[in-house]
Amino acid sequence: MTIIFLFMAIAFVLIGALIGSALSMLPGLHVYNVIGFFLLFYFTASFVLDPMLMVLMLIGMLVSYAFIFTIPSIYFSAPDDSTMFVLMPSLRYLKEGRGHEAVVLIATGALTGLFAIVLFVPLFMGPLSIVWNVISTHLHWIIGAVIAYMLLSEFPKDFGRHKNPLHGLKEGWKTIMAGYLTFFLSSILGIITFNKTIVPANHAFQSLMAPLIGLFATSSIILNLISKYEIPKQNIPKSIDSTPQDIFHGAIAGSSGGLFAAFLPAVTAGVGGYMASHAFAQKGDKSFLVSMGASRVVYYVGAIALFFLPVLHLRRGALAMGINLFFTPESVQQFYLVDMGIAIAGIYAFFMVIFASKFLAKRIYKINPKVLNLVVLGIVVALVYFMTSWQGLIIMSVATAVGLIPVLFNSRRSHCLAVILVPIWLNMSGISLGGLFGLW
Amino acid sequence: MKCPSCGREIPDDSEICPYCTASIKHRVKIRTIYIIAISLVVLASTYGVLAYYGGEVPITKIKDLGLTDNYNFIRLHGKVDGYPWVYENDYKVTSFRFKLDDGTGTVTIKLYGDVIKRMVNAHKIPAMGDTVDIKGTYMYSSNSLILNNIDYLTIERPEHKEVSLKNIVEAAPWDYKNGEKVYVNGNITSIREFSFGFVCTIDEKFDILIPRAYYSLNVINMSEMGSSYVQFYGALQFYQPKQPSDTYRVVNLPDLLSNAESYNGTFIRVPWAKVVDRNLLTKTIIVYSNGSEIPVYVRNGVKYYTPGDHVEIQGRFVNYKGTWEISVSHRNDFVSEPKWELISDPNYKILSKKSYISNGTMKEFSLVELRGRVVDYREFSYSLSLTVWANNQSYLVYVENKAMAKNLDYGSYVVIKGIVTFYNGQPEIKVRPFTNDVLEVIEG
Repeated sequence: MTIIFLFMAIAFVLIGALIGSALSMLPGLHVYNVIGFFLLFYFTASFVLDPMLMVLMLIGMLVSYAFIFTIPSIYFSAPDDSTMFVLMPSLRYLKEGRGHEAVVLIATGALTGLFAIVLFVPLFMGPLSIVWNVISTHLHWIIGAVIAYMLLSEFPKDFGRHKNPLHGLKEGWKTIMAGYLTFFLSSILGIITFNKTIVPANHAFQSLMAPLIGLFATSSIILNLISKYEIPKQNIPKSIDSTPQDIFHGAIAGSSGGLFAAFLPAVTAGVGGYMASHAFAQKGDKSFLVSMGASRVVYYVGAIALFFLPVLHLRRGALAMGINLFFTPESVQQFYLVDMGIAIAGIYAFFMVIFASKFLAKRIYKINPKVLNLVVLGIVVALVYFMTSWQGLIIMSVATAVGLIPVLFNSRRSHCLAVILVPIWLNMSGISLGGLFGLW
Repeated sequence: MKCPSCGREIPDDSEICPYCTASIKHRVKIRTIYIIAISLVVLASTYGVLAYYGGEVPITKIKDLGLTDNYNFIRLHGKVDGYPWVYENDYKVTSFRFKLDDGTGTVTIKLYGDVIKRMVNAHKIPAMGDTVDIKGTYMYSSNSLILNNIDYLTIERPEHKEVSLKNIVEAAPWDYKNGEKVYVNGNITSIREFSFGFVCTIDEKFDILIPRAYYSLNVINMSEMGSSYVQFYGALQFYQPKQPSDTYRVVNLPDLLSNAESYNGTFIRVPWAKVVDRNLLTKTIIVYSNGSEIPVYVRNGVKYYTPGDHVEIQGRFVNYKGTWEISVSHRNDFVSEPKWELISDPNYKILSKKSYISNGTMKEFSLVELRGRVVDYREFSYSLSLTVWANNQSYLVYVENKAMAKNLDYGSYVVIKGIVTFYNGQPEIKVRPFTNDVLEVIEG
């Protein structure tokens, strides 16, 4: 490797991070949707650009996205599948004028996750490989167990005094049944999406975009539109309400959850972090926000580090699969380059997210939330139409309706993740249900 | 004072903000987090330096490869074991393979598609006995290494030593080493096709195996070689037609005969001896080795062993009517003719070109062209023997692959192009397949 190549590698990481940070500000746009277009472009230009430089650029984009998507999730209430868990606590922070503090907490968590990846993943090369060899044949039932955990952890919520015990029973079970209904409908939506490409064939690699945006982003935006709230003036603190212990606790939980999600197919950062927060007995929003930040970064960025990890080369996540279309990780040297890229993009993304948050925090209270939400909804709908055509809009509408069930009945929105979990779990268990829905 | 979290006015002695419940005392400065973030520069620099300097992949021993190396990019260093082979589809090479032995085990190296093309263009084609340094993706289930880039293959080919045909034909198993790189000069006088490649006899004495891989990749031009005096490069391999059995004790003749009583009735193996005489009626040959001679009785007959041949004998040492002899009569006993042969490299050198001379003289290894009438022919399993009347004399023609003869009948006029060889002292024209030799029926 020449010194020029090394500097080019750094330059491409920064270019990727720059593009990623600009795109991540757009609510509803997932970096994987954009990476798909970049890959298409690269296949025609592969003779010009060294594949490793392209890989580093994509990694820069991914790291930026993992950090900066916090901004639209918190300020525009347009989360994705992994930031939906932070929606409620961060909205509370926003209403208290602490939106920036919430962003700093999540970014701090993300930073700890990044440290976990660049510091510890190389050290655990051997053990991770052994763990993977042990669990790789058991994935189906592990995902099944995750699903069971999600379903069983929904508990009856008592809303106080009731007219009579029967009414209490009904109120308690209403949330559970709404949760199970969400799970069931999301599963069917997932099975249909995975088995049949409803969106036009030339946009087939975006087929998951519409259901995910519908389930998580548009449903949240609609909830914001129908509820009355105001965004107060945001404070820009010089310190955050947290102790080093809280941060450490959150970082450990989040990184474990993220690693769990990065290892297993179908399990996303949100579920991983959520389960880890239960496993580590987390209390309070502070630690939870840190853990979700860590979990998200370890899930997205850790997956790519595991792909390049010399003894593992685990292909998990859309970016690893996309890169694998034109590139096979080969040497330890490439792993070092990737880790260098992750660290550089991480520094940029961390300061960028703080900067962007400060910028928005100073101005967001001036904007009417309804107008803001309408604008965001317009952007999201436009993006879905641009990426997946009118068929995607129909899927998004259906998914929005499903996504509104837990919102309206106060049950867990995590049930919406059945859209990914159930079809992959069925697929890995060798069960094919597509025929039930007339898909063959 | 103001709450550091939400910015609202709160009492000065507050420990917790009454509005947002944030702790006033137990807080982490954002500046501290900035410093931690900037420390990532150190890690980035470390990885940058490691990437810059820590380039080369360490060599892995084949015995250490295991499940955890599956799909890993590894580097191996060893010798090419045996010769490469190919898989073809519709006459196109789809896969090129060879075995690599590093002294601790073997791994199959596989090349596909464009990598094969680049290998041929760069003429980086491995051959038996080459030392190679290779990097690729290891597949545990098939114990193979996929070479994705021809730049990851380095071949160190030892210098070839010249050997004369006379020496190599007479050479004992211990005179050369398996895999030793040599070159010989000669004319191809016979070509037999097998699934694994072509066995070419040089000057009717010495066999050269040309792996099919080189033929399929068009790096060896058989027709060019067939019309030339050629320098052949390759690795020596000692060919034993029969696999010796471990249960037979290896002996040399002087030891055997001086301790005859102790060997009486035991199963022995003489790895190398020369036939000095034979008796077809008694089914006995006399063999000579290390200054001693012994009769060998072969129950299946001795017509294939002529004086001067070198043989390997596996049989029972017995005393037959007062004479010590080796009896080859048991199921696992044998007399075979082991020999050194050359496994060809993917390169050769044309020393002089030859052309077919019309009605040329029957000079050994010259190329002649003949037009005449078929007066007799005899078909064998794969070959054909013709007697052709031309130039007012009869010629013996031996066609190595009878598929070359089409529409042949008694009295047919034929054009024959071939090489002159001698069989039992008589000249004959040998028509070899895969060369420019021809056997064609023409209008009278």
